[in-house]
Amino acid sequence: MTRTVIVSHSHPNLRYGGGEVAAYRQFQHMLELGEDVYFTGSTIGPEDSARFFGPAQRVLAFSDRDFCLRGMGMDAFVMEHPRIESEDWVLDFLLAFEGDVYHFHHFWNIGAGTLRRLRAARPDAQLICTLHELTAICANHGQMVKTSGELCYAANEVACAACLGRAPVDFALRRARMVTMLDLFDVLLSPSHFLTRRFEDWGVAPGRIAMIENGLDHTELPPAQTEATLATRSRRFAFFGQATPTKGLDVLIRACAQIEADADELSAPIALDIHGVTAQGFATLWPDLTPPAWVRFRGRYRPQDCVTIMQDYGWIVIPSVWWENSPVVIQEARAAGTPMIASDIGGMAEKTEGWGVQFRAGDPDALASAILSVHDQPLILADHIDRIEPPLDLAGFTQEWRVACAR
Amino acid sequence: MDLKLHIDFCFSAPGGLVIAAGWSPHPRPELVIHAGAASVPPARMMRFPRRDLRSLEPLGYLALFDLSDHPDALDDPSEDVFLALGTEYSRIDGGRLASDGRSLVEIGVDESFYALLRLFASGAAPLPDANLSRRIIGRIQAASALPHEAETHAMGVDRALLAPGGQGVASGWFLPTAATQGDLTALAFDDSQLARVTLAQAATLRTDLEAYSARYAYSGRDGWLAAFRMQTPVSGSARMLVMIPGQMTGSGVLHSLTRSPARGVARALTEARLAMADLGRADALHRATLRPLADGFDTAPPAPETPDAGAPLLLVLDHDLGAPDLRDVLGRVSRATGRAIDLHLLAEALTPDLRDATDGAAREAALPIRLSGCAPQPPEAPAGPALMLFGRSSVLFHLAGRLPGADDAVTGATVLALDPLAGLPGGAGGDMAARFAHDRPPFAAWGDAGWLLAQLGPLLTDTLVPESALRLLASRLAAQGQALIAPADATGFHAGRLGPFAAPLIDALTPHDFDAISARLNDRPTEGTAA
Repeated sequence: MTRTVIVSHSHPNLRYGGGEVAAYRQFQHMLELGEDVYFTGSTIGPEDSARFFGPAQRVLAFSDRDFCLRGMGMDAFVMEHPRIESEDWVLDFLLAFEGDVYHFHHFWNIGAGTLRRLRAARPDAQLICTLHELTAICANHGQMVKTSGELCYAANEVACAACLGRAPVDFALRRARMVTMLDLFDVLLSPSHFLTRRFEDWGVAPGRIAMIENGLDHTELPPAQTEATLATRSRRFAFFGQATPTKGLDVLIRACAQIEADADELSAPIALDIHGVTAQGFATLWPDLTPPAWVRFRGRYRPQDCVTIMQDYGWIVIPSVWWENSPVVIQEARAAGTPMIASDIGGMAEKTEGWGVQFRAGDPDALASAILSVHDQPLILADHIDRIEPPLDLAGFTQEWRVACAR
Repeated sequence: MDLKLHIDFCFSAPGGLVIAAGWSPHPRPELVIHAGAASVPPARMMRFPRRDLRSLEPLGYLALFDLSDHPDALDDPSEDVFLALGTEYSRIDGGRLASDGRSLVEIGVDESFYALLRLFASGAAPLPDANLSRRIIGRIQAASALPHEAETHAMGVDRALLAPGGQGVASGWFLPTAATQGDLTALAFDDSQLARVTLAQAATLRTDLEAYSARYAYSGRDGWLAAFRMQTPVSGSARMLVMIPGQMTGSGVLHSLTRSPARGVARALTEARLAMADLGRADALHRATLRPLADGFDTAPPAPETPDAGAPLLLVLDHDLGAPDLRDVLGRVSRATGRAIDLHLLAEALTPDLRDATDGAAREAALPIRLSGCAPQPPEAPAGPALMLFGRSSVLFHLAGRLPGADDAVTGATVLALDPLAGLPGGAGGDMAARFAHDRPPFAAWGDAGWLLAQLGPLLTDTLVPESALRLLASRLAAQGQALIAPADATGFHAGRLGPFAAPLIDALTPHDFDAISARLNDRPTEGTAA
């Protein structure tokens, strides 16, 4: 039986990010299918590691197939372990699996040197990498957003040097290292065409990257709608995500403030619930913004409850001011049967095409107009619900994965 | 009155010079030297009181005769040399011409000795050979020095630095009296060699000295700057003798020279340059720290055969990138050259990050990579055969595709210079060697390690950056037909900004820039006004 080792830069038991969640879902599904599969994630850095690991402890074993490495902190610019001994240990650990397939869901905390040596040590193994964001291209957290806040359309050494205040040669070296690293993989996967195009524009050969959406297991169909539920839901909006600047929550709140200014003209009440953020957390980031009373901060939610919660709303707003790739919130909205109001860029534009309402990214006026265009419009809501196709489930993902990886 | 000319010493000096010391009560003795067919008055005449004559009158003299226009005048033993005052002739035999210099230094009165020092310091006479220099140094050390402050003068030395290679820089201030005539002169010396000091008087503003104005001639611009170069690396204790004009009761003001890394001296010199309004004087000061181009380099021996494919690559690396990037550079060089690598890192110290990068590269490479040395200067020639590759990391990373493979023949030295013109339609031609020397593009160079390093060694004390010394060597080898300087396309090249030679000395001026100034001044040795 083929042995597959799924490697992620983080572990969803400790952090719940899109990439590690997709990796772990793949692992669990393959495990359910009875496959010979292992999973290893990592803690992010020394602080994180100190919370979970004892002295000299290098790995947590959640089961005999599920591990979390002690991350020693990796500079994502360099993408190498800070100490060669750490790289030696991670390499030895990966080699000990004697995997036939190593599927990486990132290379941060793994390291370019580890991958080069793994490739050399196991020349016959199949190495696969899913690109979850643009880290190989962009050293600014892989987001292709300039430090000035502008969207970035293409990387080059001089422009990146101006953006990040480093020497152009640093970016030339980094690019060479990343290109060499990506060349090691037998298969490159991307969850969006947008990400694929960005890598092809950057220099990866066209056709080298296969597009497979991340799998999401949610088999229940959305509940049937009545006129009453449509009417109610058409007045209810929601945001799911974190209070990081690139998620655009400030844009959403500014749009709400504009709607509030003309609230007398609204045909019906309006409500916006913010999930994943507390009022305090929001105020810390944007102390000068005061949300209207109809904006409520709901705080954290359990990821497995997300789809159910979304079904109470007419529209999910995703106002990110960076490109996004294939946000899990979009798949969850599809699973919930709830249409979206989305920024018109990158993965958001691609993934909501046909069933979402798009607005100019970063523009509160445009977002306010988009919200008002569907507010208290049950027919428009019903029309958009009808256009939603359910997301790829894990069985579908695995099937597409086998085709892409010729397994 | 006795108007006789008294000749205590008369001796020859290189360059057709004759120096005579003695005394005469004649206020303006019209001395003439007769040698062969030549009759020449003194090119320079110094008068001074001598305590042994028990007079305050300037009876003593030191005369310098220049017979350089009469090259045979001193060489023909059948011709007599006469020193004459009017019709009074004194015959000087050849033995005195050869030995009186040493005699003056050993038994001459102090005032004549001090006058001789001034003659050397002024540049009117060349510095003596090593043997006489040692005797002069011994007498300076034994002689009475002048105080820093007296009724006749006040002088301070703020800073006096000396690099191991012999470059020196000093700064200070000088307040004469209204009656003082003449300029400061100075000599620097260690245990065995003398160096003439180029001293720029009235070079810097010193308004802080105004409180002295009641006692001395204060101008407000009373700071001086000085620079010099000892011809060989420094040995023993080193001092500077600053000679006060008109003051012959002591040798001068003595000040110890503080040892400093070459970089510190260069920084001090750069600060001195910036303090001087006159670029010509600043250049003269800088030039005083340089050795003439011809020094330290003879015709290169023939290059040996190409080290065979099994010989290691001695990689002398100026790592100008981040520490983790060293691993990438070593990986590229290893793959490109197909040789085991002995790495000599041009760095003060091997940091943990650099060590890990080297170890990481060694773990990946097909052939061994070994750290053989870590120092700011290149290594000595290796015992066994090796191909040396020299370059900055950013350059080698860019040029890896053009580095010699293990089976490629290597003749003499090869230089690949990143020439921005090379990629242009009409830029491939032209004088690459001249551009290499003048434009100073980054480069990679390779050749037999022993052959290159043996020739590079003597040049290393002339530059702050080893790359500059290798550039000088490559240019000279190319002129002798033993090096090929080829252009390489610089498209896409980005220079590193890290490493020991990229950090600015002062403001944005790096050691590379400093060496470029030195090279320009050495190329144009007569440009600029005297200090």
